[in-house]
Amino acid sequence: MDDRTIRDGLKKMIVQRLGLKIGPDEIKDEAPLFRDGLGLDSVESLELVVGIEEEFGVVVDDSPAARERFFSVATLAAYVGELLARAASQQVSA
Amino acid sequence: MTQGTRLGTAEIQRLLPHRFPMLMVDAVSELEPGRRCRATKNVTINEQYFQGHFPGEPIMPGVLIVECVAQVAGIVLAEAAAATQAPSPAQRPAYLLTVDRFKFTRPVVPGDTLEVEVNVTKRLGSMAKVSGEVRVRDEVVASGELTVGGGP
Repeated sequence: MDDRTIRDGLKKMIVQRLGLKIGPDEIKDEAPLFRDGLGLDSVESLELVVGIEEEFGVVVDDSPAARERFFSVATLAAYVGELLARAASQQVSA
Repeated sequence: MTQGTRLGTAEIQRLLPHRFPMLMVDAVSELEPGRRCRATKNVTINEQYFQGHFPGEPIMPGVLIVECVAQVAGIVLAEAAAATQAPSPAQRPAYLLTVDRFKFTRPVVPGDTLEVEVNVTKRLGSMAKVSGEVRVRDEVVASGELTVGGGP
């Protein structure tokens, strides 16, 4: 799955799951998801984690380092890409 | 503590800060800290809210059923916190953050025993998403999802 596909998938999931009244295309790749950007709150971050796990079939780490990857769609897509690669390599070795 | 753990009112009050008239869990029959819990709440005509909800037709308010599920969720998380040496649950109660997709399929009346089952579906930091199901005599009376979490 390439970065563009992940970014688009994330935007669609964010809009649907959080019931935002904007289109997925209106979310900018580099805009902050929380506070001044999209204005998401901490409770919605948990919803986002559950959405990513369902949409991409990965497990999001419960760590401060992982939380920093939730800055924008761009940073989050890079993180999801890493999780997908990690899941794929585990399948090969298993 | 392991599966099959039973807790009475004294132990429950060590895990939850709630007191009269807001403590809405009477007994815990099964507890897997951080994962799931089964608990009961007995509903009697002595509950104060039945005077007005409704006169001549006592029905337990749905929001109080939600509160009951939230308290059982608080027990799951408090026991998990205790197991990991986190600050004591009395200092950090689990606050209710979201109420999602709750349905109330049958009225709850005096004499009913709520059998509440809570399963943690996802944890992130001090927050957790849980699904809850409430039964009376093996029939589902309410179900839904909650997000609960530590204080600010």
